Amino acid sequence: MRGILDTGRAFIWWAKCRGGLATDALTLLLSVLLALTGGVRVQVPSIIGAIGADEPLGFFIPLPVIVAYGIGLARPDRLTESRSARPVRIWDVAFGVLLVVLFLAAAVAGPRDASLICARSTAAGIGLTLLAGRFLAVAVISLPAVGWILIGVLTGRTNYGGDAAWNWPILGPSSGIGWAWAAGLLAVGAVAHMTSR
Amino acid sequence: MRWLTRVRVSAGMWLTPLVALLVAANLGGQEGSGEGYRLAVATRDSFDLLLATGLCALAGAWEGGRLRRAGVLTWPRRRSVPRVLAAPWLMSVVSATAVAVIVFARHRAFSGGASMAVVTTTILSLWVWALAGIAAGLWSPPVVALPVSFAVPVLWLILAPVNSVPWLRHLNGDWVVCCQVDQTLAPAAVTGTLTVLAGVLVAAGLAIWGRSRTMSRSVRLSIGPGVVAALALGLVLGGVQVHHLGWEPVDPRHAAVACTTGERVTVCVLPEHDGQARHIVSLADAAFSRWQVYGVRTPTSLTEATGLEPGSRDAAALVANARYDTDFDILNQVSQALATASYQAPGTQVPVEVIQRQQRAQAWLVRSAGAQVGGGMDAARFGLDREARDWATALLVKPRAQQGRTVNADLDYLAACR
Repeated sequence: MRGILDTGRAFIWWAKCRGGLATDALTLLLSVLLALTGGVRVQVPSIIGAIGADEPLGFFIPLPVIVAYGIGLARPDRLTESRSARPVRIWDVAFGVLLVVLFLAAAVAGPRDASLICARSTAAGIGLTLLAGRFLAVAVISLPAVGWILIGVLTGRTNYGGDAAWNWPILGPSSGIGWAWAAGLLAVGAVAHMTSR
Repeated sequence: MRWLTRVRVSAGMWLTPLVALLVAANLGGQEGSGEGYRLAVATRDSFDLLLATGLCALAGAWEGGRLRRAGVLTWPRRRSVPRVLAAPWLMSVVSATAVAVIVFARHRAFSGGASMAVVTTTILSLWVWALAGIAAGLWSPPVVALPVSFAVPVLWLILAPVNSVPWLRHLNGDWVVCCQVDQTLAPAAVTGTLTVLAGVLVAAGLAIWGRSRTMSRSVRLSIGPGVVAALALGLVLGGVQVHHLGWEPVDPRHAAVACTTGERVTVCVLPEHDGQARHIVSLADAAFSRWQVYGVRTPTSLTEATGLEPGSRDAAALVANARYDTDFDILNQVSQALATASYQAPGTQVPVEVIQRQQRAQAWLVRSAGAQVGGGMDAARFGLDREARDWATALLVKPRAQQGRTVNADLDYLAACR
């Protein structure tokens, strides 16, 4: 019983460190925004003269979530946490998966395509953030994900209407390659985070 | 700090390879409208430098974070705040500014006029957003300031031009829809954008000032609302200037045209179409000679100048295109010049009868022009309706005088449109 209480207290401490409540509230708020703007599409011109990407407005919604997740990872002292007896790294990964599930739940109740794109970008972005947290300074851990999404949408599609395989942000909501990227990045990021010292 | 050290630690310098990639992408991309219209090329280049704005803000946030960690602004200092910020601000924007100058100079955007306004707005945008990044870096930890500083200007530059609020589309300096060769950038779009940038500049300055002084809690808490108010004021004042522009930030272009005179017609074209003028004149002479056989009254001039007098058939508005210069294309342009209603108010729906008469007249003109001037063939190539093509086919078997009277009646009707 005492062990459970200790773990519970540690979990609460972890959640406060990560800003879990604030990030969850932000994600829920953005899910509502996603439901309201699901039908709005934007045609983003390409900066390299290719065909522009036609995306739902919800395409950009994962960005604040990824940044908030990165802020949560960067707040506590890494050395102290690395010596923790609690499974804080598993909790980190589980929290990231929870955020993805929240957007997937929006696909059931709201705009399907926009929600799937949101969930996929969130999964890939969180995976990238976890991976960057292993190898880069905490100041820049969410930059790779944010940069990849924005650069991807601006470089658009090829002149023949095809999508580059690396450009997972703009792949269709049911694209196997896009979901493979998301799952792969999340898995690699989770492993990198959980095995870091 | 020594300058070599400053270069070594500057994020702006480290981002130079990424900015150079943008240059490479721009050099390999399309040149705007493809007609060599410098303003269209300049606005296209300005959009291509969009990411450079985000990178400048990112570099600025890095510099601001460095100043924050060092406490340079908060600890007692001998230098003033502008002196302290000058070098970090410069290092954040120098590579992107150099890239912008190279790109614009390559496409001769410094020739003056509206393209110079685009150049000025783009470079000012780099500097202002870099300062905003420094302000963000001074107030927030890097894990917040860096991604936010990169994302905010990029999202503003992406989403503003594509949203459904007309006036908001013209305030960020990305006038990618500007311009066709007969259009120019509306001055209100430039001044509106500069107003918004001034708001961002004031907001950034206020935030930096708030970080550089010891002040009471109440004053410090008022910095945030002050920043928001400066941004909002810039947006509102900019919006007031552009709200009348509609969906596109363009005005008609009143450029001087150069005229070439042939046997039957004088053709006046914009500078971008100078190379086509002789081709248009020779083909128009040949086509007019064919049409005059039927008694069709042809105009004495085809011109790209604006301000033609409605109702007159002495001059017809020509819409040339440097990318389309085959005989077929030129005949299409010449026949459209004759067979287009002389005045169509922007935003109004053209009546069906006017469309029908335009199509019929053009179908007859291209069929009767003859194969040697690119016509004579099935008018379907010109994108004309089946009904118009059938009407022209039926008319072509009638006596020549009757054909001329019928076509003249349609052309008179179209010329009288208001």
